[in-house]
Amino acid sequence: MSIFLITCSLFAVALAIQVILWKLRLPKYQMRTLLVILTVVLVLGLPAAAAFSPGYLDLLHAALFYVSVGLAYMVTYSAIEADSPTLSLMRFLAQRQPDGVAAGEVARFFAQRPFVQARLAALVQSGLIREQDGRYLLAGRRSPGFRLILGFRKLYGPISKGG
Amino acid sequence: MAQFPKADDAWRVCSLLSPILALAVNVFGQVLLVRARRGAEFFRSVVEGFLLGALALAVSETLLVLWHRASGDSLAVSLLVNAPTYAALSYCYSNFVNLGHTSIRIRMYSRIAAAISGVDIREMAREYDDNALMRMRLERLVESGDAIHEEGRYFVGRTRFVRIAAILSATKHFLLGKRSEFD
Repeated sequence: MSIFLITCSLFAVALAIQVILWKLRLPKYQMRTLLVILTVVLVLGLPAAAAFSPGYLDLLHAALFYVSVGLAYMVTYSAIEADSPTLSLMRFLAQRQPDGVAAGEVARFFAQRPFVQARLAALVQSGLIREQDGRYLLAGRRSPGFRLILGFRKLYGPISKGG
Repeated sequence: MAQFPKADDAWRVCSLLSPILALAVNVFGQVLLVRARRGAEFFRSVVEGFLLGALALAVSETLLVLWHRASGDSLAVSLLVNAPTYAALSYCYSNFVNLGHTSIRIRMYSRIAAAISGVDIREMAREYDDNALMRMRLERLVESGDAIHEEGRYFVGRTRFVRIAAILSATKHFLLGKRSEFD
């Protein structure tokens, strides 16, 4: 029970800090800031929680639970920070019930939401790619996160077209 | 008497490792299923992998509860900690593999990273235009039953994505003060 209470308390503290910071001023790099908040709360919170826990294994267990929940929250937050084309489209369809939406209206909806340009701009802003002489180039070395995703994808073999 | 703390520690270590083991079963099972089907029914494999891992978790947690049945703590750890830990880790994993499968950002980055001299901006615009993206998403939604295409018009089919979109939109409004990144 102590593991559950420690994790819930730490996560509640991290969420409270995030809400306060976000209300004061929205960070430029939201995901990085969120990662820093979650890490700092874990690093400072676990030793403090040791007073309520019977042993280091419980603390380790609480840390695993906290990291899992924290990562899941970050994954969810990425969908809050940037719109998902699929979810935006479903919301648009729902708003136009029961009459439905013609293909032309969907095209106009997407024209007002340039997802591709927004994602390219995000890649440039995050320093992963750069624009030079009318071309997009890789900025520096490949990002470890992208390398991991692309490397894992190879386990599946050929990939169908997505987007 | 000195044996009891050691046995208790062994139980705690096993309990700690239980959701990690379940995740490993999930990942291994999902990859095997995708390879066995040669990439077909990808999203089904994610659900099946999750269920395989959940089964492994149920077995290991049952054994852990039986091992430590004198203590009421074992059932509490199982239900309140290990089950949510596995759910959270599986959620991250499913999003991770979906990123590689559907993310526009990953595909564009991958395309640029693969070209030593970079990619022409106009070429990128041709390959990744919003109309093509829209058509692809609509097709996928109709195939999955989330949208219905009748007499040239699109309607909501299954409402699961509408509910998720409503929750995310409300959270976005609360945290960021807007309902869309394009507002």
